[in-house]
Amino acid sequence: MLRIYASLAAAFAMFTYGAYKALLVFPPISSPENPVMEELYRNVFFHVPINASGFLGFTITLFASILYLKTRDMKYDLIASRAAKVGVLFITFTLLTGMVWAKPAWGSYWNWDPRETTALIMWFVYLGYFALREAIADEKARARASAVLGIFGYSSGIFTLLSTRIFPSLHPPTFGLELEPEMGMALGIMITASIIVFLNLMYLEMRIERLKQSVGGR
Amino acid sequence: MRKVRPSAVVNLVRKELRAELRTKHTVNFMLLFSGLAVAFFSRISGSYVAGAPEIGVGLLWLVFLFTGMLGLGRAFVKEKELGTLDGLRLTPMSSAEILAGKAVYNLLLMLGVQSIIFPLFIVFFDFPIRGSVLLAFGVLTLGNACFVIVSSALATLVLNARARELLLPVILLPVLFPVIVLSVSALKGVLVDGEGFLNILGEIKIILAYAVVMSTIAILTFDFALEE
Repeated sequence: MLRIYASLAAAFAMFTYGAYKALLVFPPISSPENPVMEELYRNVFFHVPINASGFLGFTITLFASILYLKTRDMKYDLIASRAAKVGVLFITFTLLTGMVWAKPAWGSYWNWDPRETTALIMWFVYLGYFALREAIADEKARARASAVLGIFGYSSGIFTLLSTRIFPSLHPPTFGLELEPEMGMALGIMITASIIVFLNLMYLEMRIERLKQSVGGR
Repeated sequence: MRKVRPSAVVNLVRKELRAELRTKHTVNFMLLFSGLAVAFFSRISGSYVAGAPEIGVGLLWLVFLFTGMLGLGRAFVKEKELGTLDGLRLTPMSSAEILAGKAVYNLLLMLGVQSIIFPLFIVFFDFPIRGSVLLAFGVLTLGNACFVIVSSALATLVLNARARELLLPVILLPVLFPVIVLSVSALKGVLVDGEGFLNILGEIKIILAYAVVMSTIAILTFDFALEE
């Protein structure tokens, strides 16, 4: 438990530093064609790290699903399902931070921009993953079916990543965002903090699930 | 056990067709349902579609989606209900052959529905066609091919679940979403904007890539999905 507290404290310190830098230190960027962006860009320091952790979650689900099918070790089913659960939580926050940003930047909270659309669909894929898990009573059958869907579902993640390239989109490109070195560092710190929080949540979820199983519940 | 023998696939398709033609339950249901859906959509939105034909293209795909999900989900559920799934597992066929057989049979069903509904749709909606009908039919077929690959693979996942008919659309729709969006866009390009093959090549390439990725995942995971 001590390790969890220590790492969460570290993540909190990193988050505070990053948020302080992002909100109070960095100057407005120059954006002549869209003046509202001058201050609005600060959202990047929250939106991108949360999103990265969410994608990390679904990637963990993918690999754990493959490993489950190879080894039939229920441990991997636990990892896959918990990573997906926390991943859905993080993607929910990604969508929310994106919407808050989109209102002033694009004019409305929801615009059906390709990136928004594909991210929402990905969110539905993983909610479907849990609907499938809920509906299968047998433990082994549940693990097997959800592992296969965990592999299929990842295609929606890849589609989301590529969406800004496939379709004409207003969303800034997924890769190759250009930032000042100092801003890049702050972003890196925020990403690290977010991933630490993600892994801790996932670990706690796994412990809860194990405790549930040990007292005979589901 | 990943080898796919064409003769085995053909045999499975023949078995499916023979079983289906005995009762024609699924075919009749699919035709009836899709005809009803086209009539309803036409009555409800006919006047809007005349002003904005691209709405009609989306509606056409919705008809295929609903018909397909209700009808194609039966491919494996039927085997489970009749208890013939074990028989299917015992046949000396690889899982890839079973998947291919089911997908080809489902595609035949969808092609049947498509070739009746597409003309009906044009008549009911008084749809102005600016491009090549043949190309439009080809785009529809490509979209439906993707559809049957994914639905045949995912339909096995819900076999052991409660409320399988309800669950299948929930997991199938989001996974299919890219194909639907791209084929609606390609179909709109052909039918409404009168574009040729080269103009919609971008969409076709992505749909094809998607089909390849999905069939690869389906073949690799089908062994596990079919297990009891």
